[in-house]
Amino acid sequence: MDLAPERVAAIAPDAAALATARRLATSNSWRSTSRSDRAAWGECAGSALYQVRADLASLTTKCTCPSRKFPCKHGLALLLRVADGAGVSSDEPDWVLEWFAKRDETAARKATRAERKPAAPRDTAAAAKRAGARHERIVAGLDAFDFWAEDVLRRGFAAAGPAGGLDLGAQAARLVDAQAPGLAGRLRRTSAAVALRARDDETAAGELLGDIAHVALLAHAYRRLDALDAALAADVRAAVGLPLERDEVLATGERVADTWFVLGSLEDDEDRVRSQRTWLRGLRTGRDALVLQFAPGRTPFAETYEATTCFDAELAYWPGAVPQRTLVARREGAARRHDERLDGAADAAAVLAEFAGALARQPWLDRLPVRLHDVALGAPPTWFADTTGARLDLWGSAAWTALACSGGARVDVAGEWDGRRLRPLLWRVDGRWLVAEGTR
Amino acid sequence: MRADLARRALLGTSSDADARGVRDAGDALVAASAPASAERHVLLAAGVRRVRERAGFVASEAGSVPEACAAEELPECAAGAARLIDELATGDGALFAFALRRLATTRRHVPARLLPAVLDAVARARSRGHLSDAAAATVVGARGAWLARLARGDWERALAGASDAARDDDERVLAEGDRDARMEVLSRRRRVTPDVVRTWLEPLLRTERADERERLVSLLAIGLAPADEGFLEGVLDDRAVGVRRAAAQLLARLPESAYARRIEERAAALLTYTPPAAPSVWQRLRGSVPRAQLDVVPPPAELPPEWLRDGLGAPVPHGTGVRAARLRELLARVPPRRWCERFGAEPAALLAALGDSEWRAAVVDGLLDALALAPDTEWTDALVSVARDDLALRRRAVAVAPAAELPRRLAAALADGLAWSDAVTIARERGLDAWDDALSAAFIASLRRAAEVPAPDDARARTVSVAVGGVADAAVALAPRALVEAETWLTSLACGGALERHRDDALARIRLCIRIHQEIRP
Repeated sequence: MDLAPERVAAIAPDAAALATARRLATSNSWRSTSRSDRAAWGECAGSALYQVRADLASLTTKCTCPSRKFPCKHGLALLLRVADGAGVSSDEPDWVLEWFAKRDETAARKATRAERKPAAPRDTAAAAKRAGARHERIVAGLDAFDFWAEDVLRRGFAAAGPAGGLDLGAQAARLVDAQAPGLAGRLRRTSAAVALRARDDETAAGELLGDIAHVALLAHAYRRLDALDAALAADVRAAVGLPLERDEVLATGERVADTWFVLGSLEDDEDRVRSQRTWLRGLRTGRDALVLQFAPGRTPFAETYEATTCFDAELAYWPGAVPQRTLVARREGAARRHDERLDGAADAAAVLAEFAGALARQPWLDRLPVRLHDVALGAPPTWFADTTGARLDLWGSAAWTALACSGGARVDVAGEWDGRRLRPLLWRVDGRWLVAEGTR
Repeated sequence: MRADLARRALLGTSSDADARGVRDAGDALVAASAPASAERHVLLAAGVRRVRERAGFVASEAGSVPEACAAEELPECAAGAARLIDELATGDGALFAFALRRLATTRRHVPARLLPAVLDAVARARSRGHLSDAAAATVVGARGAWLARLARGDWERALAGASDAARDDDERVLAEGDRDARMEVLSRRRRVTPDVVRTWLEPLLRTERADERERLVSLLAIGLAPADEGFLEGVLDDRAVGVRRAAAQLLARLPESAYARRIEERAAALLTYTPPAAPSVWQRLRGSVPRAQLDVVPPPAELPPEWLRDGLGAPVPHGTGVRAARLRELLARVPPRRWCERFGAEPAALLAALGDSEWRAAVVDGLLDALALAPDTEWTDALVSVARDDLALRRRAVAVAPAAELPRRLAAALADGLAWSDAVTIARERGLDAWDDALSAAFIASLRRAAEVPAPDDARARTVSVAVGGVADAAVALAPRALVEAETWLTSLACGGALERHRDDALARIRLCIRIHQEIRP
């Protein structure tokens, strides 16, 4: 199996780890490097002698070092060595066989769990009572939030003193206490600078009002869950902070089997917990899917998805008016590269119409994955023009690499549309995929 | 957000009787739910408005997009070379510049996908003078130049010389930038348009502080030419002695300048050469040969004002006599070859004629200083040979050898006991950045000898550590064969702990250099 160093670079947790791994790959620290058809392994002398192993299909690695980065520098270095042609073919030693056996066992356990019906709650009455109590706490929290918001509005932002009348952080903390973390997260996204400017600037005041009102509208919807259709009610519950448990999703969620193309992953760091959202596109069904992963501190995410590869899997969707979030119920085979062009919108108007349609079904939708054909990047590449001359702005890093590769020719883009700007995940230039800056 | 809603949020609904007014479909929707208060109405109306705004977003009209880039004239570099450049672009600046200089000689450019990182790194390398205009332009190719023009700023400046936009930007930096930024622009521009930069300096010298004036004048060392003489002669009237000395140093490097002639006449008045007389009969019988005589009359301790104007009269180093210092200073500004022409004698004969004069040390120091301005093979030979037992003097003589001879002389000096660290220093000061096989081999041999001198453990560890650092430091200059030898030596080095890490770092650098030689072949 040929392994390109670029693929190894793509899975590095950060530039520093990659740089160290590159140095380590050519150092004398390697006591041995071996490989088989499916795996590579070696022993690397650091502060101790570390056993490093890698699955060459998924590029998953395991090392005995204490690093909290994943993959660690030893894992990356091992893969780089293999990419460079190092490694003698030999039989897998016990510690590699055991690792694979354990991985197979875990995968089987997950699959079994996916197939299994969720066990009935041990005490339905108690569970209902707990749910009721939580609902009351949430409603009480929403009442307090409304009281605060209305009070601020009655007096006006201009009258909010510097002592924290517009302290959204404090309100967010109260919502967390009221077990409505979803609402709290939305409130926290409003920048402190906007809140500060909102005291004497009408534009900032409008922006702040919009952010608070968006949350208030969601709170309003939560109080009227019974009046909403089931899918939208599920969205509202999830947005407030009461998503379905994974087991429930596996048991009751819509299942879609397809070959899923990985558009890319984006990370957010919020309140000491990192979240990663990975966007997938079903190549046969044309369905979009979002895989969310969370990890505290620097702990690695459980699953690695490499952009521009595809894999066969059955996904289970969380219910919703615009279903996006999924979990991988069953995965088959290894990821492989996919170089074909994706379907996509011909112009910006089509993207905007698609987003408007999605909002009509789910008014709190944060983002929609979109694909747009034949756009021309501007200079600096913080925006692009479609074939009709309409302009959409980009966010994230400026797309210099895409512009450099395009040489001014039209390209395809796939990314997240947030209602105002597009966060690119992939560019397609000259018939090849290019992972956008700042994504993985 | 709708203006009336934003205004209400700013000023408060308590002062607004019309807060529940219905202005659009969103208001109507909210009104239908009969909100309990005006604030509640505004809040929900704003929430609906936010959703409607997101749903109703309209794309603006795009401005003009960049013209497509012209086709590349040169081929792209090989994949291995590209991978290496990619690795180096975010790492060690010296290795990156080395790799790029080599790549430029292959007349190939980097792949487009690497351009942003490479342009960043090129900008850094250019600001440190590690990369020439031509090399930078070659490696980024037509696509890189196109991208830099679109990006403007650092990238465009890195490929300087170039566009009108870059010139505008430079002029802005000259007018508004801080001193370091201005110096960077001036240095870069001096390489391209030396005469223009000189005209830029004139107004600056009228307004800047003395230390900055000195820096600005010293800048003319880049591309110094006879056309600079008039300007530098004018600087000799500067009120600050440091500025005058900076100008004098440069004028001394222009052998046809009036300054050089003035100084030579003053120096010549201090030296009297008496050729050897024809041997008498008695001397012939005794077999003795009459000796030539070089008499020295040192300058006065108090220098005349016109000498001071010419930048003479530097502070006297501790332990040196004032007159000896003045003598050295004067001789340092005269190309040594001029003495041979003036006295009709070879360097060795002139040094011999000096005999045991009490001014011998000052004369030799002055000649060595002068050789730095005007290198001369025969004078270097003569000084190396008289310094047979004086390591420090030999080092200084080698350090001022003509550029073409420097590798050979350094190799010989290393074999003869010159410290490897001195060789590195001399090579760096002289801008010798690619050593031939002989010099590289002599360097590694010298380094290994130093590291293998028996010593107590602690002292040996220190020596080895310094040697390991030395080989890593010189890696970029070493010839490929010596790099392999260095790799073998480092690999075989028995070490542990911090030294092992240090060794591994050095090894990684050496291996990168080997890869650069292998992947990028001129």
